[in-house]
Amino acid sequence: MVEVVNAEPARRALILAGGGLKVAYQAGVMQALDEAKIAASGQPLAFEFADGASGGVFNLAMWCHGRSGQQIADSWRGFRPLRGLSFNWRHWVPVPASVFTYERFLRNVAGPTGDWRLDWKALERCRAGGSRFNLYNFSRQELEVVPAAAMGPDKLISAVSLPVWYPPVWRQGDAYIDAVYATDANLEEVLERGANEIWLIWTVSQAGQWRRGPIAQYFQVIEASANSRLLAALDRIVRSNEAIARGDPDRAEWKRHIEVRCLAAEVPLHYLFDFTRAGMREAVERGVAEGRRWCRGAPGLAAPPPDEIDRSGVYGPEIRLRFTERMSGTYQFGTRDCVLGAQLGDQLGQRLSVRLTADIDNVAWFAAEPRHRAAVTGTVLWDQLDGGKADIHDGHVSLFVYRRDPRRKQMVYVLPFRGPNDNMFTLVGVKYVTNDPGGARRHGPLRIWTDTTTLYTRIVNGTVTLDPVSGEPVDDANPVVCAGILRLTTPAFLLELLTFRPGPGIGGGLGALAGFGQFFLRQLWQVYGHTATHAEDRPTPIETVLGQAGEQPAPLFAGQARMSRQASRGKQRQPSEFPDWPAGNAPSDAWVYAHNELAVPVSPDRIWEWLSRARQWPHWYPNSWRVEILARTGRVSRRERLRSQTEFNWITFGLPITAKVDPCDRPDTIGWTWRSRGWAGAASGYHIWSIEAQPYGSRVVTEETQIGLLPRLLRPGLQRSLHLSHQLWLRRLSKNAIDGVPR
Amino acid sequence: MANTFARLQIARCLASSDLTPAVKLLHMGWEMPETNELLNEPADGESYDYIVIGSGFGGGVAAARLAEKGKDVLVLERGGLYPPGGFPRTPLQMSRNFWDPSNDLYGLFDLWSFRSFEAVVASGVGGGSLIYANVLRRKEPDSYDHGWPREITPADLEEHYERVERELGGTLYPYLADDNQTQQFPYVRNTPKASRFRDAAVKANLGWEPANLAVRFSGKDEPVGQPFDTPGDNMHGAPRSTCRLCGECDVGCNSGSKNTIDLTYLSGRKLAGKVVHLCEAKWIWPEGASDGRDGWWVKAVRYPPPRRSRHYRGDGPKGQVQYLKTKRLVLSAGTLGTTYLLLRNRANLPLLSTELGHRFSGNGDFLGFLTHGDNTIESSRAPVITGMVVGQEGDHGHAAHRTILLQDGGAPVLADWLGEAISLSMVRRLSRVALALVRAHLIGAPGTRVSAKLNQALGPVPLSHAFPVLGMGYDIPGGVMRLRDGELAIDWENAYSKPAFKAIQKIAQEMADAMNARFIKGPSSLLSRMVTVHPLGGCPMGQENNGVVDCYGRVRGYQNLFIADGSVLPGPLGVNPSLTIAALASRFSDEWLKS
Repeated sequence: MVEVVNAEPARRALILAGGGLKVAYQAGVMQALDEAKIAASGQPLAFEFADGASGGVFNLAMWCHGRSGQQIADSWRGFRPLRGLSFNWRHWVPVPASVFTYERFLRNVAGPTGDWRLDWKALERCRAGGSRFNLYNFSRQELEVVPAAAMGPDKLISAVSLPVWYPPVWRQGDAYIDAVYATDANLEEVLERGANEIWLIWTVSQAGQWRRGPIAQYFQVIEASANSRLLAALDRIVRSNEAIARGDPDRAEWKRHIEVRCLAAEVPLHYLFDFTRAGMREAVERGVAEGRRWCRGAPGLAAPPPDEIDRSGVYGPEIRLRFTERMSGTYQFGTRDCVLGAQLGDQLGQRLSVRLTADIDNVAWFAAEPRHRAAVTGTVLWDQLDGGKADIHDGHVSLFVYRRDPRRKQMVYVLPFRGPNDNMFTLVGVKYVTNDPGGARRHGPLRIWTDTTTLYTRIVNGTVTLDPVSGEPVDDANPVVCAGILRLTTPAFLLELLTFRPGPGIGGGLGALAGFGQFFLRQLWQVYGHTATHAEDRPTPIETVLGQAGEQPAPLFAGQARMSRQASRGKQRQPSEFPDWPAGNAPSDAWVYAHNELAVPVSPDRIWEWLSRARQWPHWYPNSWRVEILARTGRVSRRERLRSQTEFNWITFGLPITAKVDPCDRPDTIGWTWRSRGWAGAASGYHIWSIEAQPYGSRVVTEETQIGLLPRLLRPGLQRSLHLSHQLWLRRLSKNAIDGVPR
Repeated sequence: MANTFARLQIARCLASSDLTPAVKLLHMGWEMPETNELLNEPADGESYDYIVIGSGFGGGVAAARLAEKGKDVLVLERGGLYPPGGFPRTPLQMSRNFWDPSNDLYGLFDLWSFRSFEAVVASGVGGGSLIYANVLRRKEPDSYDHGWPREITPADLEEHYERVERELGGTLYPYLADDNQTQQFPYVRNTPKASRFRDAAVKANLGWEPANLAVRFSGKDEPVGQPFDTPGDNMHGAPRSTCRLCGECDVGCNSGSKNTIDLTYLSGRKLAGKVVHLCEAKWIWPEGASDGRDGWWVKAVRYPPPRRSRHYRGDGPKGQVQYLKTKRLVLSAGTLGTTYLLLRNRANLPLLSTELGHRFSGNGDFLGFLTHGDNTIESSRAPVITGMVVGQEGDHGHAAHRTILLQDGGAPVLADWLGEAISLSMVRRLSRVALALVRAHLIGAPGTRVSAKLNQALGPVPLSHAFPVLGMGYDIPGGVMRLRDGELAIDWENAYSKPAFKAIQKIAQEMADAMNARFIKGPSSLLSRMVTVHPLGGCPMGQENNGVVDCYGRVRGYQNLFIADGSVLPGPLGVNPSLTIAALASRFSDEWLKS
C-alpha cells in the first residue's frame, strides 16, 4: 500500500471492537496508547472519535468516564469473573430464556455500585462527545448508534446481551441484543464523521479453528460474521485509498486517504467462559506489551519499550517459587540441525548436560507477564570447559511463550556461560509445545510429555538478543558452535517435582504452588485442549486485505525438523526411497517391509569397509551366523568382501539364506536378492543398502522386502523385529566405523 | 660475557678427553640464559607469514623450509632451551626435569598416564629429537596399506627422506667389531652389545642391519669426543664434540653429538631470532572469515624462565599472555599437543572433521629384556640403539607379512650403578667382603690389598646383565583421543596392542634363544599396559573427504591451517617415526609454498 501523507492534520478514531472477555487485552493496549507520545511535539496521542461494539463498550465506557489507560487496565487486572456470574434460574419455563443473567455483573462490576463505578454522571466531555456505542434493536431490526451522553447502565448491558447466554434488554417494548452480528467495529460510522486515521484493536479470533460441539460452533458463527463484516469494510477502505492514490477521486468512496492501523491478536481467553483471574491478567499484560510495540511501529510515535512493563501493585507482595531441573543429551559440532546433531553426537559419545535452578520471585506476575520469565542459575556440563563445567551467568527460562498463535507455544532457555578462553557462550534451547500432528509424534497425552521434555539446543558464540514481547531469541545471527537435543528423563522429572520450593509461609507456599500449577495446566490446555491442527505461519485475513502479509520475522530455529519417533519405531510404513526394485519384490508386493536409516559421522568408504566384509558380520551383528562367500563354482571361497554379483550364504533370524548381490550401477548402493534355503524355502526378498555422502558424514539407509509364506504367517511380529534388528545392525555398523579399524 | 668464559673452560675440558666432561660442565655453572637474549621478542599484534607451533621433527623441518624460501616465520615452543651441556644430570635437577606448568615444572620430560597406558613425550626446543634414540629409518615399502593416502607413495617420499637424512647427518654405527675378541679401534674400547646383538641375529637366521643414526661419530681411528663445528654454527652458540658412547641419548646429549633439530634445522641463519621458547600456544581462532582465509590468531602464554638455583614454587609472576596474528598457521605440537589444542579449540573450529582424535596408536612400541649370564655385554657403553633385527610379522588374517623391527636398547651407565646399588646380592657380597676384612685383621693375616676382594663384590652384577630390547610392530590404530572435563583422555584397548606384541615377542624369543638368554617381558606386558614413546595419530590424513587433514597436511574445512607432526600419521609405521615425520613435514611445506 502506498503511504500517502495526508495534508490535513490527523483525525484519529479509536475503534474498540468486541470479543467478549477478550477485551481485557484491549484494555492493556489502551494503557500502552496512553503512554505513547507524538515524537515531534511530545503531546499525548489524542483520539477525536471513538467507537465501541459488543465487549468493547466496557472499555469505551471507562474511557468516556475519563479513566486513564492504566486505570482501565487495572480494572481488568482486578476483575474477578465469578463476581459477575449469575444463572438465570427464574425463567426456565416453558423454554429457557437464557443461561446467565447480568444481574450480579451489573451490581458488582459494571453498574454504578460495581467495582468499575460506571455511574454515567461525570463524563469526560471531549471523549464522551466523540464516542459512539453500537446497540442492536432486534424488534425493529436496526443498528442504533448512541452517543455517550445518552448511555446508561441498562443500555451498556444491552450492548453485550448475547443471545442464548444472556436475555435481551427490553426498553420501550423493543428487544436490544449484542450488535456483534451487525457489526463488531463500526468503521463506516467514524469515517462518516470525518475520521482519517483509524486505530482498530481487534480481538476476535481470525485463526479459523473449527471445533465441534454446539457451544463452540456458536462462537464460531460470531467469528464468521464479525470477521466478514470487518474484512468487507476494510476492503472498501483499501479500494478507496487506491482510487485516491491513482488520482481518481470520483471513484473513491471517501474523498480522503484513510490510514488504518490495526492491532489484531489471538487472545487465549474464551469469549465468555473464563473464570480465572490469572487468565485476565495474562491478557492485559500481553496487551500492554504488544500495544507498546504497535505504537513504536507507527511512524512519528514514541513509546516505552515493551519489555519494561511496570509490575502493577495488584500482583501483591513477592510469592516466591524455585525448582531445579536437570537435562542431558548429545550434541555435535558444525551443524545447526538439532535432530541431526543429537543423532551424530549419540554415536560419538559427546554428551552435554545442564543443571539449572529456576527462581520465580512473584508467581502471580510470572503467570501474567508475556515473557513468563524465571531467572536461572546453575551449571553447564560440557567437556570443552575447564573442569568440564561452567556456571550460568544471568540465565533465564521463558515458559510457554508464543509469537502470534497461542496454540503454538515454546519454552525458551537462554543460558549464557563463560568459556575457558574468557569468551561468552550461550546455550539456547527451545521446547516446542504445539499440537500439530505433522511430526507424527506419539499420540495423545504422551505427546505432551515428549514436547515438554525435549529441548532442542544450540550453543552459540556470544550473547543473544531477545524479542521484547515474547522473550524468544530474535534471530539466528550468532555463529553456532554445536547443536543437539537435551532430554528430561522420567526419573529426573520426578526428582524435579520434589525440588519445588515455595517461599516462606504456609499460605504463601500453597499459593505459589497453586498459582504455578494453575498456570502450567492452563497453558497445556490452551495448546492441547483442542483438536490438532497443522502448524502454519500464514498471514491473517486482515493482513492480507491491508496488504501487510509477509512482515513477520522468521521463528527461532526456522526449518528445524521436529523429532519423528513414530517412523523410527517402524510402526508406520514409510514410503521407499528407491524407485527401482526388482519385479515382484517391491514394497507394494511384499508382506513385510522395513526401512531404516541412520546419520553416521563417518565418510562412506569407511562404512563400506565394514559392511562389505561380510564374513566378519557375525562378530559384530548378533543376528547373523556363518556367513560364507561362494566362489563362482559354488564352493566356499576365502574372499573377504562382497562385490557385484557375489553369492553368499548366511543365517539370520535362524533362517538359512542364500543371496546374490546385484550388479551395482549406482556407486553408493548395493542390493541383493535372497531366498531361504532348505526346508524353509518359503521366504524370499530383496535387500538394499545405500550409503550416501553427506556434509556431516554419511546417511546409511537399508530397506528390505520379504515375500512368501513365512513372512505372511509371521507378519505382525516379523515386521517389528525386522525393523529393530536392522536398527541394531546400523548402530553396530556405525560404532565400528567410528571406533574401529578392520583387522 | 659470562657465557664466553664458561665456553672456554668447556672447550679445554673437552679437549682433555676426560671421561666425565658432563659433570664438569655442570660444575662450571653453565646456566641457561635467563631471558630470551638470544632471540628477538615478538611484538603483540604483528602479523607473520607463518607461525609454527612446536619445534620438533615436524615443526623444525617445516619452519626451516619455509624460512629458507624467504617467508617470515615464527616458531613457538612451549619448552625451554637445552644447549649441549645444559641437560640436567644431578638428582635435584632431574627431579625437576618434568613438564607441568601448573606445578611450575618446565622440564624436559612430559609424562602422561592415561586410563590404560602411559606415554612419554618431550618438551623443549628441538622437541622429540632431544630424547630420541637417533634412529633414522624409512617406512617399509610393504607397509603402505589401507589408511595411508594413495597419493603418498614410497617413491614420492624418497626425495624427502634423502633430504632429511642429509641434513640430519645420518651415519651407520661405526664401532662394530668383527668378533668380540679383536679390538679393532685404537681409541674405542669395545662396544660389545652391538656385535653380540648382530651375532645373535645371524645365529637365529634373522636379518640384521646397522642403524642409521643421526649422530656425529669420530673416525674409526680417531679419539672419541673430538670437537667439531665452530660454536657459532648452531643456535646456542655452543661447542659440540663427537659421540662419546655414554649411552645418555635418551636424557639429552651433553656433548652435542646428536644432530638434534635445534642444532641442525633451527640453527639455520634464516631462523635466527625466530624461535621463541617457553611460549605455549593455547588458543587459536580464525581472524575475519570463519574458515581462516583472512588469517589466524594465536593466544600464547609466555612462561617465566625457570630459576634453577633454588626451589621455585609458584610465587613468581604468572604467565604473560601474548596475542599473535599470522596469515598461515602450522600446528606441530606433537600427537598429544596438536590434538589437544584442536580439541580444546573445537568451539572456535566447528568445521573440523569428526575424525579428530581418531586413529591414535602407540606405533606398536614394545620394551623387553634379555637377561644374559655374561656380564660383559655392557649396554650402556654405546648409543642407545646401534642395530636392528628386521623380521616379518606373522600372518594375521589378511595382513601379509609386514616388516617389523627389534632394536637393541641401552641406558646410561647411571642405570647400571643404580642396579648395583639396589641389588640385594650386593648387600650380601659387600657384607662378605667386610667379614673377610674383619677376619683378616682379627687373625692378623697379612694382605692390605683389598682390590681383589672388591672385585669379587662388584664383579658379578646381575642387573647389568639385563639387555633391553625395543620392538616396533603394528598395533591397531583404534585409539580415540577426547576431552573429558577439559582434559585430554585417550580411550585405548589393550587388545589393539596384542597383534604387535605377539609378533615382537616371537622374534625376541628367537633372539634370546640365540644368545642363551632369558627373555623377560617388560612393563608393557607385565602390567598389561602399553608404555609408548611414539604416540601417533589424532589428526589423521585421509583421502577424498576423509581425515582431519589431506595428504599435504592441510586441515579440511579450513584454509591456511596446517598440521605437520606425528598426529597426521593414520596408523603405526613399523619403524621409528622420526624420519617419516620429518620427511612428511618437508613434503607438506613444499606444497604449502606453492600456493
